[in-house]
Amino acid sequence: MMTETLIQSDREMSAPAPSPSLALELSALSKRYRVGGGMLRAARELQAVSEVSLRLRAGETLGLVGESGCGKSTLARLLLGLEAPSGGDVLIGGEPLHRIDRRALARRIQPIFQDPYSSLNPRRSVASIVRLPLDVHEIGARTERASKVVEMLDIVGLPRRAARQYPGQLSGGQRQRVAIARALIMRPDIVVCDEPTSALDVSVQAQILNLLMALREELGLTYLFISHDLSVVEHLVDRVAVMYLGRIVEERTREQLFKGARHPYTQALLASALTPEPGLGVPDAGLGTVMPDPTRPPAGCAFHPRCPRAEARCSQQAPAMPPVGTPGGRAACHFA
Amino acid sequence: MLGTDKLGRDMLSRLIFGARISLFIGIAAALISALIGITLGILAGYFGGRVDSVINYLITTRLALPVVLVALAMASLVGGSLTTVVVLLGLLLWDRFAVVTRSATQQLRDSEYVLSARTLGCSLQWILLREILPNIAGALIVVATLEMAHAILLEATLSFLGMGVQPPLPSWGLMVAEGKAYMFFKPWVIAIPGVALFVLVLAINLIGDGLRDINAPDGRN
Amino acid sequence: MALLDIRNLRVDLPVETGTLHAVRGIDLSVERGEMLCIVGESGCGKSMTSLAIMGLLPRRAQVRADSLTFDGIDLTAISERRRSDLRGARMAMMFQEPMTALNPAWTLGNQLIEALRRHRRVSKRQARERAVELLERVGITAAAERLSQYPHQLSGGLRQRVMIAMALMCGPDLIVADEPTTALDVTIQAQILRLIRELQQEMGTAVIFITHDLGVVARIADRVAVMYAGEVVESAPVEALYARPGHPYTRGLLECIPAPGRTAPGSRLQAIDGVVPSLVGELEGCAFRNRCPRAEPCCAQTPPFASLEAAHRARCHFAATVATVATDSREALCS
Repeated sequence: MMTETLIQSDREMSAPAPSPSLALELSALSKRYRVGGGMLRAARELQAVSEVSLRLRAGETLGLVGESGCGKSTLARLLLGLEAPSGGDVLIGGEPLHRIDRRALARRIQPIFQDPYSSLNPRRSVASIVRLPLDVHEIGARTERASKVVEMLDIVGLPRRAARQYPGQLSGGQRQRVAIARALIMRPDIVVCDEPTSALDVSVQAQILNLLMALREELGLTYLFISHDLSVVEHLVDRVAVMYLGRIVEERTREQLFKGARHPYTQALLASALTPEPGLGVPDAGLGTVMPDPTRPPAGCAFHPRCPRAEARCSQQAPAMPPVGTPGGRAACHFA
Repeated sequence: MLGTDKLGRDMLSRLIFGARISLFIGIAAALISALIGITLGILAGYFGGRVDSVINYLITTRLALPVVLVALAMASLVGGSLTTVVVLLGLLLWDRFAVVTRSATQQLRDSEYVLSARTLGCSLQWILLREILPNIAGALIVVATLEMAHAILLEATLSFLGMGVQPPLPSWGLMVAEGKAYMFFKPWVIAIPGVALFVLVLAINLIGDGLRDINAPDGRN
Repeated sequence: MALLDIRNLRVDLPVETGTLHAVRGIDLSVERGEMLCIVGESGCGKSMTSLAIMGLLPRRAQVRADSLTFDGIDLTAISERRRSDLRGARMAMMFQEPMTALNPAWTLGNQLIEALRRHRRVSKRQARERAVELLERVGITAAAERLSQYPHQLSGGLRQRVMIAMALMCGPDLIVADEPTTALDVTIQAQILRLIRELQQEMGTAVIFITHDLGVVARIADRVAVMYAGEVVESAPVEALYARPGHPYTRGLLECIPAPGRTAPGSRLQAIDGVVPSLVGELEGCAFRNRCPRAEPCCAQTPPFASLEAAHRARCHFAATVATVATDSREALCS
């Protein structure tokens, strides 16, 4: 425990100052959608991601937490180049994302999705799924590709006979291993894990988390780890960013966040997490039942209608978010 | 074995040759319409937005056309022949392919394996032909059998009305037309091609049902 | 006498390759006013058990039980008609996805009022008053106006509240809740669980709460039954189960979730290796032995239930040792 803390604070000190060792940098990244437009109704604007600025150092794991609809999956899609941002920039290894060719991008950043039942093409064998990136990028000769596939299956802990099987014949955990093998066969620098274990049983979740941690170590991967499960996030990440209605509302190192969150939303999230300790009852985080309409975000601080600490000024003035790299973390709250 | 028709031609051999023509027309028309319909449907389903609107407009326009009337009008304009019938039917029967492909593609477009193919840098062609198409093929085979049956019946209709395959080619529809004058004296002359048509269409539909059953559990997984 | 008493319940489903024994002879009993959590992973038979209790299994499923009694009524002997009278009136169900339970074409008011008037002779006005009262109780503001809304106009959390209100309309003795909070966000989940627990204690309703989430179980259960491969492998009062798990599977489940304070961040988690055996065809011996770290040759014989302490039973040859080892190692880890 002691050494843990030391390492943590050490990392913090060296945190600011953008350097070439930044794997990923988002500056004021935004994404708007038009929704609900019809013949008679005017389309409304949904600000799915709003001015998100984050930095990931090479080899670091950043956890991104938030509830459904907070924009964390949209953020993932922006990073993967699946959608174009409406504003702001993504730098991958210092290079703007929009200037990187799609195929080159694929070698640098790869996703692992939530649902291993829909992330694998049911008509392809495991070998063909894992080999797909090599086929698309025409890497190596046929035999070379085949041996790479076998190697990758070994790395993710799948038996070699699995190569000839189809996704329908595998269990959820095995499918997720296939998805991981496919994502890593081209050795990307950054992996975007979008709720990689939330569709799995707990006993399998532990296997996959162990695998992800081991691979991070072995291959020096940088993870953006998106999850709503705070105990998983606490176990896996170095730093945490909390998202609410498209904005980052708090960002801190793991230690700081789980010991001393400053934003009331983060505090409510932490209070609502149910650890397996009997006798404690279900906590009351003091949030109201009012759910915000993301197409009409509340004025002022977006969280104020649910916030137990809200005051008059919260409904008028949006709290400013300190810049990226602020020592000791940052939170967008008047009372932080 | 089945006797002869009014010109003394053997019914059985005409029937067998007729089967060849019917099947050829069915398959060829289904292929042409599949090509048109699947292309339009997959583009509409995958891209959505404007592309979808335009293609949807095309589908609606096509659905507003009465197939038999248009086919008759066009055939009388161009002159009936085997090629005309095939091309005409191919150009008129693609709607169901387009609708089915479009909705199936929409479902798959946002599936995570298509997303991961995109993040792997796969080309559009790769994604459409290798990731999406094989997964909707099951549904499309069923549509193809239905359209085949449809095309065969339409060909028979056109030929019966004299706008389809021209004599002396032994089309079943033509045989029915030729036999109709003797309907009350020699009913088998008209019954034999009629029954053959019925059996063929029924068989094709049953094959379609069977294929659907084979494909159903796969599709669900 | 227990409110619900189940002895040797079996559910078989015909599948292409044979017979799937989804539930393989389980005993359960629920007292009045008790919260029993059934916990287990996907495919362990927990949902099948809940559907068997409610009499809602698909027709092709075969249900057999030595005894299945609800408040003295033999559920296996009564007609489908009486069963459906019982459902809704005295036993209610909550689902994971409220949209499957709420009819999208009807207003909330219609559905709530119908839920009551189907089983009780009350006037429309009385039913309406009851609906408003319950909606307010489950934390829905402007309840009277909400009655004319349709399910799709509500957020997920509100829908789940409406479903709770609907389950409570007739004041049932037993509620079977099948993962009712799994699809919800953590903050909403906590609110809904609080609500269910409060209402259950206030109204003295017995609840069978089915979940895979050990965090949820710890916070709301009175008693827990752990299911694995169609069997109950352990049942115990909640504190005893978490402090002294007597079955290696329970222990494995508790140890494989990262828990702040017990597992150091970044450390390797205890995983349960291997996969659940297929439930198609007969299964001999302990179903967990292929994944069990303590399996011995004798595990090829079906272990009996070992009584560890009052109301704490585990189906393992080594239950007594497992329970003590578990305590030691967990304490060692916590310190």
